Amino acid sequence: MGNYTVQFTAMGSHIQAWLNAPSLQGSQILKSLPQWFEIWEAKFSRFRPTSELCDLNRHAGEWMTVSAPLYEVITLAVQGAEATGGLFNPLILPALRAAGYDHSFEAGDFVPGPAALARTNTTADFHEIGFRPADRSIRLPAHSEIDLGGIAKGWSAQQAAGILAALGPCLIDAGGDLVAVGSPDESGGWLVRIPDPRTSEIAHTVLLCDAAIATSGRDYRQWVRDGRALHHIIDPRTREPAASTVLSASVIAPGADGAEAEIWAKTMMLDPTRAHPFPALLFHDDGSIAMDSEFEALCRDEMQ
Amino acid sequence: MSKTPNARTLNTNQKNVVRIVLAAGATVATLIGAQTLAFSESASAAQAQNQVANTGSVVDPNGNTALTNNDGSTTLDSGSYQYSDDGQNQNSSGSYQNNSSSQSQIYSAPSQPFPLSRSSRRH
Repeated sequence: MGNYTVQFTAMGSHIQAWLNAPSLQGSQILKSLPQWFEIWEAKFSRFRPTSELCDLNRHAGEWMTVSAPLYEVITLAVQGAEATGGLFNPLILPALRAAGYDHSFEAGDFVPGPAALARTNTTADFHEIGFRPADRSIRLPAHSEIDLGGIAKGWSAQQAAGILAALGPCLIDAGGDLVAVGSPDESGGWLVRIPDPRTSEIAHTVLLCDAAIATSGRDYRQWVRDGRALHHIIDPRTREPAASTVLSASVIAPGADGAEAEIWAKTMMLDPTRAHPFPALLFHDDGSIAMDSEFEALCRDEMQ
Repeated sequence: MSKTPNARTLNTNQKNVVRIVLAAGATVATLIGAQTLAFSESASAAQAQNQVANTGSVVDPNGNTALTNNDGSTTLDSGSYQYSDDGQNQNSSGSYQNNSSSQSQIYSAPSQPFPLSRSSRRH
């Protein structure tokens, strides 16, 4: 058995997948990953006017039949909003755009959008998102817009891992959010390193098996507008980039659940004191590092 | 579900690839569950050229630049396949664009690649 890997760019991120397979020929499925991510991105991207998500946003207030993946991811997002008391809210897109994040980070230096572009006074209530399973329809609250950014990427990584797992242990890295299935060697899982966001030096190494890890932070996807440092972690309570003391938060979700890991990493960014169901590691602005005992149990720092 | 190529027209390596593809297809269909899934593969090099993925060369762990049949022909692109969860072949509709920036080359990797988990960044 050997590890085989493929890497490409999608969803504004570097994507890489590893598959433990008996031969190169047995790893050929890896060559299809760019296509899978392209199909998913064509559904979930808010930066593509032709995406299914953009179409749904344009029809806010109306029932619209959507694809099974979009229905599933929006369902997961609303479930995440319920579980986090609304700290994770997929309807923050107008606030995100008002903060200047109105186009992709994908190419070149990021120049934020103008402040006056989309001032928002409220964040729509996620409870008002309507689901009609019979015809797989969704209705967004009128004048609202949904953003699936991180959760869509986590879901996509999870789907890809689920497909590859039938062929062998696998690991998907979707821009720093990872889903790990099985183990490529006797170590019992895949070893993933977590750098300190202030220094980029490796702070911890964790062992993941049938688990997902997501890291959310203010250290990337940030910009300055009118002399004010802004970032993409929007607090739905203020509709502004979060004034959090947390620089980055990593959360490990069992069951290779990339969407759950993403939901809780973002939630821990917004409220680090909140009770959380999964192992978490926090890097604070003051240099302190906090982790719970469950996260510590997964650390294999001696192996980094 | 689209057609499977006639196995009688394939050489041994191609048959192996088709077996892998069919196994993967069954896996996808199982995993995606309620989603309607169309999963197809093609053994035709001409068709492969029209497909989004599987356009890159292959590097094996021994440094060979491509896998070949005994007769010297390249077989790996015969393993190309695509699926659409809406039951539509998006490539054939002409509406499908591949914005992924890379050619999907496969490389060998160490047993523990030690990837980093960090906040999402542009590539």
